[in-house]
Formats: sequence, structure tokens, C-alpha cells
Amino acid sequence: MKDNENKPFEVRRSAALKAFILSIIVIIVYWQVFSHSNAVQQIYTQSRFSYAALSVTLTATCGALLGFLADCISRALGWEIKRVEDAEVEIH
Amino acid sequence: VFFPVAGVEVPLVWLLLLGFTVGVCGGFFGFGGGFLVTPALSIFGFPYCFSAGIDLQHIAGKSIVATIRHRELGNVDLRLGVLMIIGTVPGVELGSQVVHHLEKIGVADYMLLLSFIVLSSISAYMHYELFKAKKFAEEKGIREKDVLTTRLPVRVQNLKIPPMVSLKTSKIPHISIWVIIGISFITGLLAGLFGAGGGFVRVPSLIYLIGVPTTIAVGTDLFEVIVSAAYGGFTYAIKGSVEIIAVLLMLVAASFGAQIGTISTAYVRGFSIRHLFSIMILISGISALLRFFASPIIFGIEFLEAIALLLVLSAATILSTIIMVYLIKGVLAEKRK
Repeated sequence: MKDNENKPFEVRRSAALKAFILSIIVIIVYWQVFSHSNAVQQIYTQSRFSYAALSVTLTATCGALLGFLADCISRALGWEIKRVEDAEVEIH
Repeated sequence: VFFPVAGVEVPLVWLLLLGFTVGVCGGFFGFGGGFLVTPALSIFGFPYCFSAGIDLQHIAGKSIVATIRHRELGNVDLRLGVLMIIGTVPGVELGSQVVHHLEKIGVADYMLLLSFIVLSSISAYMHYELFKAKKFAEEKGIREKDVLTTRLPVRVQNLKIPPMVSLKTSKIPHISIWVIIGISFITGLLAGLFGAGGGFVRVPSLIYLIGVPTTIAVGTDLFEVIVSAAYGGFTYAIKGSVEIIAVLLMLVAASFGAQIGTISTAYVRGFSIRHLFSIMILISGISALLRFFASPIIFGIEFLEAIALLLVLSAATILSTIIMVYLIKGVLAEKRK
């Protein structure tokens, strides 16, 4: 019972910690890309395949990081993830 | 902001606003938003090939964000999504090959007319079915479930062509793998022919042909969009038509928007999603018709192109506002409970 009572706080604390770490990672990734925009341009002129691989990898990484970050922030704030009620279709 | 690869300067606020609006609509309706972003980026000053490349890459990233949240809500049927990808990829490839061939003979713009016919027909059918379903639900007092009044999914599910597969998340006990691959191939082909708008055809197909609940159709389509947009974005990047900095900037705003759009699906019934969806695809269809009239092979009235873009941008902005209102109302109602 005691464990259950403590669970929401622990979940929120753990989510807040994860959100903090993820936000630092996101800032570092964005900062690195923006501060090395010349290097990115150099890759673009040297090898299109490397540029394509870099762009897809960066997009996927940032998408995943931002997705998990948003998830952690909402958990840390205690917003309950409400599962959809009508996820069952009734055909007539 | 100056974008060195594309060699253009674009106001940051415009990019962020566009990313946010498409994020909200994409998260709520389950489409990528190519019909909206590519022309808008061209108007902002990006060369057309860059607009399409940036659009596809940012759609891939935004769809990852939205899919993560939809998965939390139980809206992603991974098995169905993977099977759909198997049919979609060759369909899109075939469609784009046909368009390249039509471009060579100078009649590719007729695809815009086809796009109008298909999208407006889907919209008309959705409106008709929604009217029947709402009436039925009100008469029977069904408030919580997603009601469909067409027997088409039952007939499709009863086609016994082995191998059969069970889709637990979508609550479909058995359906032929070939049916799923066939439907996704056709929807992929149409997406390839239209150049964008895959989600506009796929989401209604998942609902009305396969019988997937509306919210799961939205989440599963977004999962599929990740793969198709990443593949498209990669091919554009190899041709040198992607500006990474613009993609990453739009992705930040789109992530916020996608959260709002996705979470809103938890506060509305399937009816509301389908209703707004049918309006959005009708407006996209009208926009395609205007672009068809703007084409040099028809009337060549150039300003119709701008009106077409203005129409979809206004619609997306209004619908994003409606979605945000849904979210606020839902959260307030939940707090009151």
C-alpha cells in the first residue's frame, strides 16, 4: 500500500530527471549542428550520400529526443495519459 | 535566418508557425502535411525541390514525435503499420514513375484534377456516412464508441485469402494479409500520383475498408508516414535538396504542435476527428482544382495558385485552433469531474 502511495511521486521525480537529461541532450545536439553549419555545408559539397545519411539520422534522432522529452515533461507535470475510450469500432 | 545550403534567407517566425500548424493538424488527423508545407515553403523563398525535401524530412521527424505519443494512448497498431508499409512503398514508387512519364509528355497537371475528384469523393462519402452514423448513435444512445454504419469492413474482413492475420490493437479478429497489402498499394499509388496527400487516402481506407477505429487509424498512419517520409527525404537529400537547419527548426515547432494534436485525440470521439478530417480533405481537393486551373495547360491563371495555398493555410490554421479548443475543453471537463 505504502509503495503504491509513493509511486506517483517516484514516477514524477524519475520523469523530471529524464526530462532534464533529455533537454540537455537536445540543446547540445541543436547547438552542435548550428555552430558547425559550415562543416555541414562542407559535407554537402563533398558527398551527397553522407549529407543524406546525416540529415536523416539527425531528423530521426531529434524527432525521437523531442518525442521522449515531451513525454517525460508531461509525466513529470503529472498529466495522466488518458487512453482513448472509443478505440473500439461498432459496425452497424 | 540564412540557410547556407539552400542559399536563401527566410524569417524564422514563419517557419515556426508553419511547423506548429502542420504539427497540430498532423498529430490530430494522422497525415504528413505535404500538400501544405511544400507550397508554403516555396512562397517563403525556398526553391521548389528544397521545399519538397525539407517538407519530407520534417514530416518524418514530426511523425516520430506524434507516433511516440499515439503509442502511449494505445493508438498505434504496429502489425498493421508494418503490413501497410509493404504495400505502400511500391505503390508510391509506381505512382511517382507514372507522374515522371506524364511530365515527359506534358500532361502531369491532370493529376491535380484526379486529386480533386478522389479527395472530394472521399469527403462526400465521409460526410454521408457521418450523418448516418451520428443519427444511429443518437437513436441508440451510443455515446462512447466509434460507430460506423457501413458493412464494407465486415465484407473486407471476411475475404478468406490466406495467410490471415489478427490485429489485436485494432480489435480485428482476422483479415487477409493480401487485403491489407492490396489496399495499402492502391493508397500508395494514389499518393505517388498526387505527389502528396497519402494520409488523406490512407486514413479513410483504414477506417472504411479495413474497419480500424478512427483514433487507431490516425496513429497507425503516422507510424507509416515515418518510413515513407524518411525514405522520400533521403532520396531528396541525395539529390542535394534538403536544408538540415530548416528541417531541425521546423521540427521543434512541429513537435509542440504534434503533442497538442495527438493529445486532443484522447478528448474527442471518432466522429469529431472524421468530421474535421472530411472538411480538411474537401478543402485540399478544392485547392488541387484551383492549382489545376492555374496550370499553363488549362487556363494558366497564376494567381489561382496563391489562392489555393491561402485556402489550405487558412483551413489548417482554423482547424488547428478548433483542435486546441477541443483540447482545452477536454482538459477542463476532466478537471471538473
